Amino acid sequence: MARRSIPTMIAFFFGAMMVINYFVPWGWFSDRANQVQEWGLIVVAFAYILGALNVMRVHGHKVQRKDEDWRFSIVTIITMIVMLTFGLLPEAWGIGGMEKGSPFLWMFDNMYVPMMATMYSLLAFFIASAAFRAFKVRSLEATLLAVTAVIVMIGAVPLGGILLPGSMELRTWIMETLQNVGKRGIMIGVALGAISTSLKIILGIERPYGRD
Amino acid sequence: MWETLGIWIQVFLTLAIFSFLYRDNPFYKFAEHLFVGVATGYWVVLQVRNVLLPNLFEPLLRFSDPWLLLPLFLGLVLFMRLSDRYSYLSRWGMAAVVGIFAGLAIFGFGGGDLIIQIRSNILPFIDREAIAAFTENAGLITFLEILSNPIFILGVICVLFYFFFSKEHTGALGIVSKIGIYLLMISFGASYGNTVMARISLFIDRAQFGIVNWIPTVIIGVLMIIAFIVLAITGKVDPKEQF
Repeated sequence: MARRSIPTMIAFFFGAMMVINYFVPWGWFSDRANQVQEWGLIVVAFAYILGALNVMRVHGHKVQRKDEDWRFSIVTIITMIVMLTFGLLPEAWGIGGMEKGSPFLWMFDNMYVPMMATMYSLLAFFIASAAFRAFKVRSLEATLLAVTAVIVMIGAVPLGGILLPGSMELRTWIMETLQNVGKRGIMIGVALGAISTSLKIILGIERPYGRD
Repeated sequence: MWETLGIWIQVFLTLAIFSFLYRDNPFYKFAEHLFVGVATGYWVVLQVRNVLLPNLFEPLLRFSDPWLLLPLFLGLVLFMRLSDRYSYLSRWGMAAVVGIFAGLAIFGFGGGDLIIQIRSNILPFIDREAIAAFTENAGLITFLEILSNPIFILGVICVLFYFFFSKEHTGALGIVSKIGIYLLMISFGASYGNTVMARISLFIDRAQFGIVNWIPTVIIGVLMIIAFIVLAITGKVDPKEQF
């Protein structure tokens, strides 16, 4: 019983505090509520550490059991340890910290940034192959999607402006008006859904933090 | 020296990830696992240095705020998830986070999205400025500008009706919701086209990087191709795994 009710009470207490703070933003209470917001970020930071431990555990088990591709798991574990060591060591030691010229920032600039950009650019090819499937004009809805996407793509490059005069202006109008019409409808729906879900969580009707 | 080494590593990792277009292979797997390690380490260090040290551990060591023992406790109980017996305790920390952010979300979404979007849609049906612009310079775009406000006002209503499931979409409601889905498809098409162009821009950036640093690109590229041939001959890469 307590296993279920204590998390519900914690969620209610902190959630209600945030809601009350909006209506009663007065000195002492407001200070406490702002402090609690900071506590939320602190607990989230601990969740990051838990996530890293979990990655370490999963890859450690893979190495231990010599599962498929276990050698690559060693790469993950070693890079994570190296990154954590350089990042957490004090700046005064010369090799620690996140300052310019530190090994931590060097690894970030030369590994994380290019790999992130390449991963995203790789999606251009997958999106292009998906386009062949999506752009099969079978219905009016699919035609509208395909035609709009083509106009937006043509209007985004200078060559498009030469091949199809006015396509750049048309693209701007589509992005500012037609795209925003759909987006606005979705945003209103999402906001209503988020508000009702948040209320359900605070009142304990929904418990996404876990159940027995 | 470190800068040169950095460029060679960047080129290798870029080519290793692009090699996935050929098929899943050891170079890609290496880069993928390296990315997970670097990214996890990076985000943990960022959280520790920017959140935990200044907001928790330093004030606690100065004994300036004993109330901070509470978030410390809620954070530490999260690690109970790793224990089979006491994993239920980790819900306390999760409940605190979920509760705080649910409370913030109510007014975040309410004030930031809902009210602003509704307010932005309260527009004059006929935009006099757009009509004046059309009279001055008649053309397709200036004509479309006149239609912008009616499209916004009626279009958003049609889109919202499409998401209204309490009544069957037949008759007039069916027509309105049908227009709503057409507008949604146009919106998705525009977002899709925009995303494709953004991804292609990123690809051009990576390709330019390879061209500017063409010596490491050629050397590493040729070595990778040789490695692929050797792996295919020795049977270390299954040709059936063709992407």
